[in-house]
Amino acid sequence: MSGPTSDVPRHVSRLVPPGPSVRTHGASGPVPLSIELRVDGDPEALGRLLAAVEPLRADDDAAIVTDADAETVRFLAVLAVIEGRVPMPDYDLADPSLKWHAPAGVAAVPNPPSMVTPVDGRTS
Amino acid sequence: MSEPAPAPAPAPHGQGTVVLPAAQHTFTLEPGRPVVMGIINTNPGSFSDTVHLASLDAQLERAMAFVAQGAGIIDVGTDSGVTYGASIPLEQQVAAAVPLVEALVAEGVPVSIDTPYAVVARATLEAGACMINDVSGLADLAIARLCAAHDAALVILHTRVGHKQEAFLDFPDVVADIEDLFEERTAMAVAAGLARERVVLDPGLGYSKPPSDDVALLRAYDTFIARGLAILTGASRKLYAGVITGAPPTDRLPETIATVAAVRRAPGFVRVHDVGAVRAYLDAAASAEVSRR
Repeated sequence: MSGPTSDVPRHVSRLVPPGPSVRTHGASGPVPLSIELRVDGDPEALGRLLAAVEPLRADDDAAIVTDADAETVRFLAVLAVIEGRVPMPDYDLADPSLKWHAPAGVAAVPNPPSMVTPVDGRTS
Repeated sequence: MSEPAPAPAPAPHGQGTVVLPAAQHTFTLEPGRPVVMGIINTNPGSFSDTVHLASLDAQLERAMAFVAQGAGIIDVGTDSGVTYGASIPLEQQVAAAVPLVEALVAEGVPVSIDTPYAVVARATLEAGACMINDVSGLADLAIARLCAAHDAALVILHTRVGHKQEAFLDFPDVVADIEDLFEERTAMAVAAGLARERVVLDPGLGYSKPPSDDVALLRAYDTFIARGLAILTGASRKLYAGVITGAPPTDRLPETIATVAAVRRAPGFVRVHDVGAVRAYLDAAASAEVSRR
């Protein structure tokens, strides 16, 4: 999660779902605000924001103003796919940016042998 | 001298509530109010933790911080399920996990052990763990026998590949396959002596399934809930959600909370790294529902 004191790059959703408009503080918009909440990089505040956003997730007339606008859109995008309001986007499972990787200095061993050890005389 | 007033009858559990006995603990699991399971890894195989906790003191401190943030159980991982690295030797897993389990149990904290290994399960159950989170889908039936012997709970996770194997299988009907595995493995556990009420079901988000099947199983939660058993959801930083938003594994908190939102009607547990944020979400969502009634 990003915030004013974070140097982590913010990630903008590749899928922008239908539903509320989400924008940052200071931006103007044509509709009255439904929610206005600053998160300031606090994960628990983000949790409370998303709980407030959730009931509005399919409301095209709602407007949410927050500094966690990117995070809010990502939350809405995942729910929209799960609920079938937008299709699952195409994806490439070979995309390395989506997966965990062995960190620098650690040798990768893809799909190492499973090691389920039998006990009580039973061989797995 | 007047007769003492009769003890009040226990409040009846709400519809859909599941009571899970797990060794010295009993979890009353209500729909909409899942217990948050905080993840602590004891070995260097996992890089899912943003900060590796090398010492027992650091692991205990993190675990107790999770409890303070609202975790109801700590899941101790002894051998990460990551598919890019080899397993940790079993004796090393035991040596790392047992002192942490003993320390948490001494603090009264319920402890689950994330392991497919019976040797690790045995040692940690003897140290006081109340649940085994068997991420192999009960590949070794000895795990069920050990849980039965210790009156512990057992998580049966859906997967069709071995531990630490990356695979995206082509399921004709993933929900039917999950149901088949739940039925079969629950029966095996019961036949091994475990009470059915001690079984916890995990549909296995991200295990042997392509992301589209993860979405399909999330849409089918009512089917799993209908089994009347506790449900565990590994909700943290999942690939399927990263596919939707493009966020990398290290930055998927909104995606994790969306997953929790999708499953929180299930009586059970949500297994996460970001305990405080998820607890804050769940508490706020529950309060909002009460105020809307």
